[in-house]
Amino acid sequence: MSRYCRGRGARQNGGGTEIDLQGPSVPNLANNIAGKGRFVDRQTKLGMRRLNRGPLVSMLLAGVALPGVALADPTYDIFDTPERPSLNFYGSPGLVDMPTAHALPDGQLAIGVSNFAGMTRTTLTFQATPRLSASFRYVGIRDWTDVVPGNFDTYRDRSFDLRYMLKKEDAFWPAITVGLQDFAGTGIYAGEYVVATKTFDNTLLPGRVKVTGGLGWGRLGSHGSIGAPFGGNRGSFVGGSTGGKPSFDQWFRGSAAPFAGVEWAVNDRWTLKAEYSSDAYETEDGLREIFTRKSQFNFGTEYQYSDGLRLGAYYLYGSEIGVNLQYQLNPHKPLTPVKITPVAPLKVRPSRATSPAAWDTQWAASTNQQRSLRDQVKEVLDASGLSLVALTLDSAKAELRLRNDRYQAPAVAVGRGARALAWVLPASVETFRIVLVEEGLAQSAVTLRRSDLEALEFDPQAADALLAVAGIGEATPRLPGAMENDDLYPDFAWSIGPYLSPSYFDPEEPVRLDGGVEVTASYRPAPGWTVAGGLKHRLFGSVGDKTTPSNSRLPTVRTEGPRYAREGETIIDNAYVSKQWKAGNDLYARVTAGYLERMFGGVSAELLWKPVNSNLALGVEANYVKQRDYDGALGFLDYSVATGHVSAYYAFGGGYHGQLDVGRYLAGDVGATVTLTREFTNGWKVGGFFTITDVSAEEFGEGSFDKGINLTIPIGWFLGEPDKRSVSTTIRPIQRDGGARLQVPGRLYEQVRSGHRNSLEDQWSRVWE
Amino acid sequence: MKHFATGLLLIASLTLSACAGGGREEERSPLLSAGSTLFSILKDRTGPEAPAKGRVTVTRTLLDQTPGAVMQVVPENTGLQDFLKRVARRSDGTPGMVEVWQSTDQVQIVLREGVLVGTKGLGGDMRSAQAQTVIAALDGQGGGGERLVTLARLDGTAQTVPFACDVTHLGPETIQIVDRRLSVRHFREDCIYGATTFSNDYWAEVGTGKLRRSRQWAGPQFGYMAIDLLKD
Repeated sequence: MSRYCRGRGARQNGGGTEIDLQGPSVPNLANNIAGKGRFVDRQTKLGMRRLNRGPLVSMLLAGVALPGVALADPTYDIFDTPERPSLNFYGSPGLVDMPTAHALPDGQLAIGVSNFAGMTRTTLTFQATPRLSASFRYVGIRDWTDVVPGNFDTYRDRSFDLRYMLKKEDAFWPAITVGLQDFAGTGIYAGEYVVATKTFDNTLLPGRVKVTGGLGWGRLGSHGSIGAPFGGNRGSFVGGSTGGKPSFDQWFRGSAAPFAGVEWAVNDRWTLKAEYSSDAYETEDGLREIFTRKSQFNFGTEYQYSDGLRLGAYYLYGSEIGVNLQYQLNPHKPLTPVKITPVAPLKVRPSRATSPAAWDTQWAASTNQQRSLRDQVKEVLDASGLSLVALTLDSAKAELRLRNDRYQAPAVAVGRGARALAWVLPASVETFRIVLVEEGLAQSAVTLRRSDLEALEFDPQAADALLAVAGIGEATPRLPGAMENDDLYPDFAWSIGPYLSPSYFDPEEPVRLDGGVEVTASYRPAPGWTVAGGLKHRLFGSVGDKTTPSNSRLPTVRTEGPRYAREGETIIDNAYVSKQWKAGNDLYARVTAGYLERMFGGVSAELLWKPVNSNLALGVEANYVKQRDYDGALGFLDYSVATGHVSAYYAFGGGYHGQLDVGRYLAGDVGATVTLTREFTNGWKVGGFFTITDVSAEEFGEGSFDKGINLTIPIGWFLGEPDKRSVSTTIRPIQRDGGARLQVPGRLYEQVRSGHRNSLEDQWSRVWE
Repeated sequence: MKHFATGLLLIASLTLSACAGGGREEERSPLLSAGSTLFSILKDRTGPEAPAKGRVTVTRTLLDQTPGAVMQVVPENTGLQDFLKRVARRSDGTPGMVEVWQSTDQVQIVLREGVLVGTKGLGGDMRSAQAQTVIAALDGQGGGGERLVTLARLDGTAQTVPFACDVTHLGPETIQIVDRRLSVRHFREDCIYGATTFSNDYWAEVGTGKLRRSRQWAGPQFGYMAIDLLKD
């Protein structure tokens, strides 16, 4: 297979119960990477102040009732090997069924799958800041209806947890953590705790011992209660409620009970655990007789199989055998470190005094010589996988516009562009302006002096020193009188490959999957213009097997997903024309028309203001769309809507990014979406979002309001070779029709900021790569 | 029968016809790239052993036939011997001559007066480093001080680490490089930052002061490499 014969294939997008609504971009919810190391502290504090000012954000923070969620400095020491606590059956740092107080290393992602007594809990935990972690859990409990009748024999539910470490462990005091378990679900796992853990390294035993004690409420206070310190009236879950809302009135109310346990890491591989549980399993043991609880003591042993994988076996509640599979990974640590083939060192110019001929400027008057120089620059750039877009030259300065399709770090493209100029251009050209261009949009201009490049290439602090003398500023929309690269347009591309499109969390079938063949094609007649489309042919799948019609009280803008999957075998996934351009130095615009996504077609227009050096961006998007026919052909249904948003994007620094969208959603509801994302320099993004609109919880249905998790993983993280692409997925506990946003291909913000100051500086150390 | 045909079509689309044309790199299928890379990793791990660790015995004749300067580098993590050629040599604003040496697989190492101040293309590179304290110590009887080393962190960022270093003179020795026996002075540099330490060894030729042999640390990812200057 040739280098060019690697088709586009299955994307791993999926979300909630929604059908895979393709579009190269999954809702661009949150982003940016900000704050170079040395600015991090300051920006973080500023960021926190701003966080508290934002009404919706403070609502969120108040909502989770966390004292001072400080966004601590996320930079880490290269030599640090932080200890990773093991997980409990809830996928949180813990013993067997009870939590411990230690936090995962910053940024860590942990996946836990545990099973006992026919209860399977699958949990994804993310350590969002050094002290704050969030978990999303999916649970299946078998034999739910053996005693109490009901619809499904296996009870399935989603739940969210939050944990905040109040105090780190020190030489004398233990670590202390407060946790909210299932704080917004339908409540069967609802419980709160305060827990302390202390590590003992030098005991009579070999290895390391951790002792934990805590106090639990709710579920975790259901056995061995010592009374109700904060009041006795714990509201309980009301059957038939839509759930999904933070249950403030329940937290830390009702009886509290102590729990405790010991974890003994015998050596690097083996760990023994013992605990006293404060959970009476009232529903499972008492009401529904799923298992019989004979004891409050749980025991287990765990084996660290590999760096990521840990396996455990347990004896729980005096009657059951359980297993726990734990996997941990950190976005900071790539599967394969990225290796970039270096380019040749610079050729230093001879001094003007010794070789005056080299400094001659006659060439600048000759169009032929200028063209020849352009062709040489183009060739050097090609070797690095970069494309020359335009070049202007005079005897003292050059502006190079280039397109980077290969490197996730824009600094690599800038560094290679500058060195290409230094290799090719005559000695008299001293000032280089490198402009990164993304789909016709000039992102930013980096100005470098050639003599600085020559002086600093092997400087003891080569990258920092170059940044200190580099100018990062705005780029004009066009470069008049430039020599352009005639090979770039028109550009035609096509691909054929497999696709997979999952659907999650249906009570009858937790995971459904469609798959087939996908053909995509794009044609770019001129800069900024794109004509593109995709066809899918489904070969197998079960997403459409769910035949119960939508029970939505709103226009069914998303809940007919299964019907779309069922009735469309060969479908037009999307087909559109788009034009984007730079309307001013800080202003970007886009107009798109056609079949924008699987469920909607129409017109979309967007305007974005984003100065190169700003942490803030503002955008406005207006769309008029009509709902597409289920069969995926050219037809439309009757429903049409004008939808649009005003958006503010802000990089808080240290990798924390926020986005606020206010506007009208697909079902005609009006409201706002808040997205908070932790972004890693290498392109990993983990975020959460929620949308509140004027649709009431009853009208919305299960879940009460729209919310979910976004995950973006850069391809280069797996491959170890430079690569700009990434895979994204959005997971919703449930997909309803309220707060649903249109998916438009090619939204501007990500395209624009990928070459702005924050992105450039984040990986500036790679400028000499 | 329909299922059978469906299966065939799917397999075909996954393997044979998973193709793209014309487009840009970023339009290739991520899933397929990931798949093919994992496959090649697996193949490397399970397939026949990587190239035998057989060493080329360097002779004077062999060296004479080779144009230009030659340096032998043996990274300790692989033990594989490679011969590097010099691709640049120059002085800049910082004291000490800089040389860039390139391996057969296009990796570069940067030496200032023989002291490692950078690597490129290793993945987890040493981005840049100070060498002044070492160079000064090699002239005399020892020395040391703070030495900044900027190391790539693998997530795209880098960290400048202020190592506290101490260079000691271990005395005169005689080493053999190819067929020549050389009188050298052996220096050891011990560096520490928190719990991290490394120790470099340098053998400087008596008279010229040139480093003929060294064992130097290239960062936590790569570890140590043994460097012999075979032909200058």
